[in-house]
Amino acid sequence: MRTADPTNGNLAGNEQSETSARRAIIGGGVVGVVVVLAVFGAAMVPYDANLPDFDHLLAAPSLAHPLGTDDLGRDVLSRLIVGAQASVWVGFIAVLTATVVGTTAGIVAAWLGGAVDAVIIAAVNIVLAFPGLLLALSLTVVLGPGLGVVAASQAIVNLPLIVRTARGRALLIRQMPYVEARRALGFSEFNIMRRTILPNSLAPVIVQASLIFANSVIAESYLSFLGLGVQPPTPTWGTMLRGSIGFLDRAPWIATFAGLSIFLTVLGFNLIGDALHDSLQERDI
Amino acid sequence: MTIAAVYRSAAVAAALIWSTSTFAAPPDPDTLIVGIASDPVTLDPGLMASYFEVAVQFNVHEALVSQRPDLSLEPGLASYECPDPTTYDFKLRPGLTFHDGTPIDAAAAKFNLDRLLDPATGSPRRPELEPIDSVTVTGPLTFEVKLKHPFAPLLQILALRAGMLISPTALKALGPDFAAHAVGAGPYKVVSWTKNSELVLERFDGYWRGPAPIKRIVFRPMPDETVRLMNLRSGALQLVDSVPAQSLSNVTGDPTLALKQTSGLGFNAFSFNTTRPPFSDRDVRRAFTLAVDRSVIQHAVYFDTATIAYGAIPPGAAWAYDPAFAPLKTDLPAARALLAKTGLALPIAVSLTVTNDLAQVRAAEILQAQAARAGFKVDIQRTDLTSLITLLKRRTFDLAISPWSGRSDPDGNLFGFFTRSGSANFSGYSSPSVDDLLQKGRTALDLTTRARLYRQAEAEIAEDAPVLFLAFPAMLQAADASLDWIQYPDGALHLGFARYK
Amino acid sequence: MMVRWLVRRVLAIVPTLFGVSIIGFFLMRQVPGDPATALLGFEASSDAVSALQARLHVDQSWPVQYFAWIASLLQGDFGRSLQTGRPVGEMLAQSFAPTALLAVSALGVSLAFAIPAGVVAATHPRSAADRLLTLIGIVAQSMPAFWLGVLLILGLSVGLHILPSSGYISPVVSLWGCAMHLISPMLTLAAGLAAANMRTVRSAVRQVLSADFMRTAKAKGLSRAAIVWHHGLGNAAMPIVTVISLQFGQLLSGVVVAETLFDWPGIGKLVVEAVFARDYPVVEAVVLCTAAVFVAIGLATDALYAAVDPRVRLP
Repeated sequence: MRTADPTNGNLAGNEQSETSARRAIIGGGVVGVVVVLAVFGAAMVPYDANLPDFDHLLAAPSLAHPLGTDDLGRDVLSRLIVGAQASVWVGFIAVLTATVVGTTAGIVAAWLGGAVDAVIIAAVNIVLAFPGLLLALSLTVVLGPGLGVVAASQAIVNLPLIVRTARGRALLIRQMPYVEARRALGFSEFNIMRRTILPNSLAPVIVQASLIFANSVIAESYLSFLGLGVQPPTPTWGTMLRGSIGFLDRAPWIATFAGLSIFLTVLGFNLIGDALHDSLQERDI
Repeated sequence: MTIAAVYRSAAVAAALIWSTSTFAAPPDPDTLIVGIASDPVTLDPGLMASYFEVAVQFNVHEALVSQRPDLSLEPGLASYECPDPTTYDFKLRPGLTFHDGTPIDAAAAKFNLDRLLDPATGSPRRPELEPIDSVTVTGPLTFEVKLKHPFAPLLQILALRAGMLISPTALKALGPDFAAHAVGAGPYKVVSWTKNSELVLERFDGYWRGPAPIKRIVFRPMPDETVRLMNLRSGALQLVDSVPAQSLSNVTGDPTLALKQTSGLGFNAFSFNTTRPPFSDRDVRRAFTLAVDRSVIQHAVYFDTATIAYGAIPPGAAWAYDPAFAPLKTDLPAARALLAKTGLALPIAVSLTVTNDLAQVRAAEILQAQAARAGFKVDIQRTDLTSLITLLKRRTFDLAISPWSGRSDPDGNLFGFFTRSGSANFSGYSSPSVDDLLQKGRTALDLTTRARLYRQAEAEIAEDAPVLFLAFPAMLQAADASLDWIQYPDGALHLGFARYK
Repeated sequence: MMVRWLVRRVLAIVPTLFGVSIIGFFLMRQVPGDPATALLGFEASSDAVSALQARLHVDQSWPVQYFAWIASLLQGDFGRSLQTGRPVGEMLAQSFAPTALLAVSALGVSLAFAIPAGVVAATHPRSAADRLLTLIGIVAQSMPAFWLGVLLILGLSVGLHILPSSGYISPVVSLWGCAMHLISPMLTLAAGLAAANMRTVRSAVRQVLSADFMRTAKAKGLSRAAIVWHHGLGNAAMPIVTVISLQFGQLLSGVVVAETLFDWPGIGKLVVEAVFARDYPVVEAVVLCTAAVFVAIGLATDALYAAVDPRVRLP
């Protein structure tokens, strides 16, 4: 059975998987570099990312500082490397929370149906209708700025997507002959849910997860832009980008490189998401 | 390097396109478009509480007393006499009306002052008018203000928001809508106000100094300082507020623009919370202060445009300011020795709260780095302005920014911050001797005595270090070179005097 | 049948909006500080703050405030801004036009690019054009909107001086001025939309082209262009409409950023300022109105589906 997905093309399978594989490799490569920087970056930076150098404010890129320095004389390259940590952390927590909570809620809604389903759907509709950035903004003002709040707000904002995806998938699988067969064989409902429905619902959720990761990286920069990112001096790409705006005419390199870091990371996740999506289409159920 | 070069060469190549670009219409001689940092919150002078209205207020409203650019006073809507230290007699100019035609008489003046004094109005002006005992109408155009005790800053205060008269009939007719349509007696009247977009004013022909030279003024709020300056350079604006210090060279290098710079009245400072550890210990506060090198802030935050501050009296108040005053100058060994003396375990963890303003965050990061050298571990907390005010008032902070826009009289920079019941005493500072000096400063009437009292108070405060003073930011404003206008040290725009050359 | 379906769907909106209004209301009340403190600033004495709190009625208990607000809302009154004292309805109306102009023009521009590009990519699969457009699509989608905005300011305003860097001019005042000010924020917003829309158009058209009736059409001797135009796009319209309707939420977040960056006096800028000023009625009104618009668009899309295909009329 093929799902009615609008992005389902009619390309020959092997050609498509070739493209998917290439995208997955490029995307995976970019994401791999970012993750490595996030984990080991702090140990390999040329300068202390938070140490001001008041004799070299806004220095242009040079051999000593390949990407220049910022308004406090800190090395932009070092700050970008350390900044990978924040982006990866926010994305990771947001994805983990949204997928775990969302998949559970979605499957439970599909499985139990009735009142539980109605309540979960109503909650999803409310979150969906609530302006996302505003939710993040108010949460930040309530709880105080920080990476945790950014991650939490991203988890909440993206929750409806996961719940809907998981629920739709679970509803579909529920009616599959092999599920009926298992039921006939006397497997418990919980067992069927855990062994059959959960693994089969996960694939489309994983595609969404890569998009959530990308969204979270962007959201961190949005919130920083509104002045609500993480606490200084911790470098994040979003706060660096925002801080650079007052110096666009004097030191355009800060905005350029900080934006480029965000862009490449998001691009990496989007490529992976695309590739996963395509290969999923082929495999189907 | 390379990227900067690309942008630069692109700019040069585009100079031709710029000169023929059509979006920047040639300046209209009847219109002055002003870029301001933020939209005013309200146009009702009795309810104005933020710095955002300073650019607008003197154009719509006129005060009883008028302030010259050198901060000296002259009669405004009224002339005044002070027969004894607790009595002021005011005489309004005859034949004047508000923008709506309501006559400006003694009854209207009394109505205005009584309104601000009434707790039900909730006016932020009430604390500064608190010494007023009564306002009595003594004739059609004359009234008497009786004080509870002598109060030297009264006339200075009546030259600002507290002395601005609004039309009582308009207030009654408009009710809560008055805040958006203010009817005053200033050189311009309000035509329209679109929130966050533009405030349009038109010349008021009945203004007491005579009609203003420029017919129409448009205020456009543009929060981003870089953007504001860009619009001035492109010709979309003729005057801008708060030029970013890091971009001064852009203005001075452009012959079509003219920069005006004066030392302001306000200060940038951080309050220590003296009511809880570790800053309840005077030595810890002094150690932190000694660790700070203000010249770095002056350079990296203000790009050498500000004046370094050690106290609250600004250079603008020339009669009281002491340029040689510099207690607790940077001394790292002394700071470390003081901390060692306290016996506290190092590093001492403290929080430092600022708003999201980029210059404030930069200052915070510098303080963090400098204090670390003496043995402090500073955790920077960013928050929004309302949260900051709330936290300052509840005293739930260790060290928090508490900037002040400044007043022309030193009393306005000291009394609220350092007397025990002061409304801006966020640090919880308590010194009977300073209270006494500041109280005397209010009642003493000659400037030499007052200057001596304020300097002594400032010296005593510095020893206790309840507030870390960093800088008196300069007032930086820029205009089209064809505009002739007057700059005031408080940054207020008095555009009734502006004209095109 | 259709009418009953519609009535049921409209009624189902009520609990959603109710939930949104409650969350919006109580979330704002959790924010530290209150409107009186925000209004009176640093120097205000505590009795001045409490006097103003009383005047603004923010000293009452939350449920009392909430029901008072709902009650006046049901009479069509959004109340007055605590900050400026203006009627909230009037402030919303004033901010709505710039936002609508920005959002609709961005959507329009994105479609003007996405439809032809998507059709070309779909009708020439695996061609150089397809690969290039796909690449452009994924790049545009990965571009953080405000970085694009910053780059536009750097290039077009700071560098080339050909566009104003910010601000808004009403089209009533000057159509040309309005258009010049619109370009940068519109492009900032349109890039991501164009990418997403192009991908949708491409896959939708491609799927339709592979359907059986297309082969029939081809057999009938219709030209390729006619087939794509009449059958391809026509049948691909529904998935495209769906994706656009789902973009509304994303559009709103983008609008907040574009408006802040370009000083565009719309709903996004209004609400961000209102959050910082603790201007409860304004925040609540914006939350409720955007949620209502979001739900209404969803409903309109479903209704369109239902009108086209009665089988969709399920709960």
